Amino acid sequence: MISKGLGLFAAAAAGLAADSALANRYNLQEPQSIIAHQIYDLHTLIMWIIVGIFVVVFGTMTWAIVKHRKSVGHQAEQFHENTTVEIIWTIIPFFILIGMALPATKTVIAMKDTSSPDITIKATGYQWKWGYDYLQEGISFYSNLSTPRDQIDEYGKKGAKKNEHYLIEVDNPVVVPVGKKVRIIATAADVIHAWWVPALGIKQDAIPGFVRDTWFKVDKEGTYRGQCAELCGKDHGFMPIVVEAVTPEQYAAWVAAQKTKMPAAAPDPGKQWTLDELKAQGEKVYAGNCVACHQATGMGLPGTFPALSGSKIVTGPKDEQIKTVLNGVVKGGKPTAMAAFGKQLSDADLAAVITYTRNNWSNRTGDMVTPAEVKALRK
Amino acid sequence: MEAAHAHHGHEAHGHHPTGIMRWITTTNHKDIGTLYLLFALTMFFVGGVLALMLRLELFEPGMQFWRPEFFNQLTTMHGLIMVFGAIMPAFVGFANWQVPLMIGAPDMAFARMNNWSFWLLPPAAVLLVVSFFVPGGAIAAGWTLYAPLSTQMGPGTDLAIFAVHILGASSIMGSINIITTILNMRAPGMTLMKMPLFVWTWLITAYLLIAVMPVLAGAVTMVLTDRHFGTSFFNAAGGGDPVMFQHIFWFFGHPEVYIMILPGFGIISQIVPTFARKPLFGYSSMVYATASIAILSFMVWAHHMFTVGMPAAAQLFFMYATMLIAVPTGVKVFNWIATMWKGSMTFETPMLFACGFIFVFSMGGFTGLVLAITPVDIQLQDTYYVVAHFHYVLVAGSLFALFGGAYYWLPKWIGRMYDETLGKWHFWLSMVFFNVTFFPMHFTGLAGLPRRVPDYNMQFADFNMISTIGAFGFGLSQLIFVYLLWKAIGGAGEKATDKVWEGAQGLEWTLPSPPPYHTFETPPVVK
Amino acid sequence: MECSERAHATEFTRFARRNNSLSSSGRLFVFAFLFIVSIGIAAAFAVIGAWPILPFAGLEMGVLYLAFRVFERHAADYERIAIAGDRVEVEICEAGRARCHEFNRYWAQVVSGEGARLALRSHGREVEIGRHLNDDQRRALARELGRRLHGTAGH
Repeated sequence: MISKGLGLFAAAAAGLAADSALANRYNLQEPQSIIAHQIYDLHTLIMWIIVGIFVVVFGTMTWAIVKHRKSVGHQAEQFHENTTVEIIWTIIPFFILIGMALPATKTVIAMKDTSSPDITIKATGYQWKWGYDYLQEGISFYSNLSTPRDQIDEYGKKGAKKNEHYLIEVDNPVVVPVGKKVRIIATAADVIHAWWVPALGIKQDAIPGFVRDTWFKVDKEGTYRGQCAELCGKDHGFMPIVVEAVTPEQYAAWVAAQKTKMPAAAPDPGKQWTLDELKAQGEKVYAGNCVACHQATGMGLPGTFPALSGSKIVTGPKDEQIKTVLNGVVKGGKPTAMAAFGKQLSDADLAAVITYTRNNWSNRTGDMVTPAEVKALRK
Repeated sequence: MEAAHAHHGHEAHGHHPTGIMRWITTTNHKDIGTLYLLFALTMFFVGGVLALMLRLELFEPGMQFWRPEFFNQLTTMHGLIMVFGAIMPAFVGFANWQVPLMIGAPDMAFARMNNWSFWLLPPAAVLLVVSFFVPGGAIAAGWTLYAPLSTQMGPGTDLAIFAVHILGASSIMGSINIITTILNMRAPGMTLMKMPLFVWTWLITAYLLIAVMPVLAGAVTMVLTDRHFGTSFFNAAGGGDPVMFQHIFWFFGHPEVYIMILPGFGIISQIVPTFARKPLFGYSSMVYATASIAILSFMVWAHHMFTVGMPAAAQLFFMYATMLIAVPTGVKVFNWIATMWKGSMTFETPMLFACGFIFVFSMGGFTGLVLAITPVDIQLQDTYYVVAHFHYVLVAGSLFALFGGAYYWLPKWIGRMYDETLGKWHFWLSMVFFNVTFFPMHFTGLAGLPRRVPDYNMQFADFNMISTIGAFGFGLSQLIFVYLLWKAIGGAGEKATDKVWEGAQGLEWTLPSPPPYHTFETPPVVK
Repeated sequence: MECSERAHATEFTRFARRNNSLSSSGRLFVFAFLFIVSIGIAAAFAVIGAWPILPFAGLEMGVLYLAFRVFERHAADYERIAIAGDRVEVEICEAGRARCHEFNRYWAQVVSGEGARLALRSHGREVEIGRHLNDDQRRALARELGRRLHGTAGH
């Protein structure tokens, strides 16, 4: 079966165009970085060694099963030890292992060398999205799954037609230049996540409170997709990673555009909002940040995520709710699944989403929370 | 008074309680073995239903059946129930039945404690199943219970932690019993190096259990105190380290993997010589290989966590140590094949399962070798490749060994032959559907499908569909086993001889089939 | 140990020990080994801050100690049958306590019960004997005793 699989993979590898990193269905994805190439070659080497051992060992076993059976009249011999043979088959595997360990050791050391990077990006895992900070460039953004819910949810109905990159597409991809050493610093805000892009040969756990790094250098332009690889709760399967590798010139242009866009994207702090404007903006913010836990119905998930509809905090004094959203919920000295959104969202977005929750579902407070009120409660 | 004294300690003779009380109060190793095996079989089906529910959701892209949070509960409980509810109790069941019979002891050393260690299991199982119905549902952090995810979840986690404590206590009592029995109660002449390999593997397994069970108990206790008592073992904000949980868990978890496979090696080492009509090749090297695997199992735990970002030196150490395990494991496979070589083989169901075991377990061993290579492992960690790997060693390894052992000793236990045709169907359907289910997972894992996700891109659709079909086929095939057991226990088969199998060797085959309630009350002499 | 003083000048003595496949020192070695491994692991984890493993390891070692202790107490179990003059003495030692049963040589009967069980009976008292012997040895003992008591084998 392994040899059949290998045959299929060889055919597939030869037949498929190299421009799609996802094209290979039977083997590792087409490698796009030095490390990924080494991993690919290591895997191929070991597969062939295994195929060799497989043929020898199971060839012998099959021979015995066919020839040394009672039904063909074979008489049992009574030997039960042979020191020479036993020593030989202990030592030979040892040498095979050394042959495998040598190239692997080189790759391990190369993978660990995160020194002198051209670009450093901090990737922060949240339940359930990724946040990115380009440390030198000063660019920060969040990257959410962009597959519409109506393609995903098919409970009792047929979902919408799925995109080609269903579940592995995001609103804001990570953009990197080709040929430059990119160092990824991974950490997390709540639980352990893992930042994984198969074609680039990297996977690094993102551990809350700790910082671990890894690196890659992309060979050629393209879009490389990955997913969170460590179980991190409900929407673990819905926090993909997309890396867009572009030429250094395009990258410089992207950086410049991001820098001008960032202040522009934030609404004018002096803007005077109406209740309806805030509710409309709040609905968008809710869909991007809150819906995964508290649900579109505002009912949450009993026992895990509390309902907002009819909630005492949401229908009570405004300040309490603003503080809750700004600082998150801490129980017994530890952060809970209710993250602190103060650092993630602007005053206007926070005001909007709080206004929205206070005037939606069964909540009819009629309150309007202004950005200024949020700003006043920031610590 | 003198008469009372004369009967002291022998009240079980002749008149033991009947009906349900017999099973609740029994201290007889055969009764307790039967209870363990029936319990394990029940939990195997419970865990199996959970697996089929998972596969149902994964049949095609899109979310059709379960909410993602319930899907995570299913994966977690499938793992916990199969590991702690099915595989481990099944092997303890075999130990209870077979160890005294194979070493010529009248019973287990501590018969009353043996009864307790079994009766702890059903409450623990109930706790696990009930946790699905508490607010927030069952624990959904994976069977590895990684903090801080497990500290974040609802009360289902506390029930699971309590259940793990109880199961751990049961395992510890069971292994103390087994180790004491094997060391102290061997019949005269049954020296250590004459013990059947099944007994040897259980001796080493019991040692592993004693060494690592407190580690698991401590780990889940720390999760519990982090959850409720304000400690910060695994909470970075309070000065703890989430990675420390993984180190502790896998320090338990890797020996645990061998706890689930070593007795399987033992069963295979009993079956192969019987049906090859030839002594086991390389008995002493088998013993040394088992011991080496057990020792190495304490030095490789971090290969489960290569992606946490260890220093290169640590990654290299754990890679080399992991690769070394291939040597003793290889020796075992070579010895089994050498035992078959120039034998006079027949292929009754136990032998089919043994051959199937050697074949598919080796495939799991091969992928284990692939995963031992740190750079490749970093690519494949937490993908379906790993799912394929450990199901090859645990389903095709432990489970096939258990089935092989069940067919091998069933005629001895119940005194009737089972239906050989049904047994062969059971084997072949299991073998085919097992591979249909799990072989495609190698491909999806290599191509980049993470594990424990409820939904996936369309590029993985066809392989997942095949896996789901295979899983249902595999699940349904297991009903054959239940039917076969029903028939055999009902007395449908022909009467089993004492020796049952032409090539069988060992003390258990000198007894009548079925053996009397009390056996070897005075030790036999082993020449 | 009340019997042993009078146990001189016997014309027949049969001594049988419990079957022990591990010596006392072997048990000590096994316990020490398991103790060092278990407590060593737990202590190592305690050093890096995971001290809650230690109490569990301690508890486990406590249970293991008790188990070995119980076994050790029974390790020296023995049974001695002696015939001296008109007395038959059966000395049974269990868990370090020896009990002596005296029978009148001419009244005592050897009875064989269920399986290959063996007992001495007299005046409604019954004491099981030969518990540490295997079936063949027990049959031989029955013949021997029967011959010495009445010149016939027990029934």
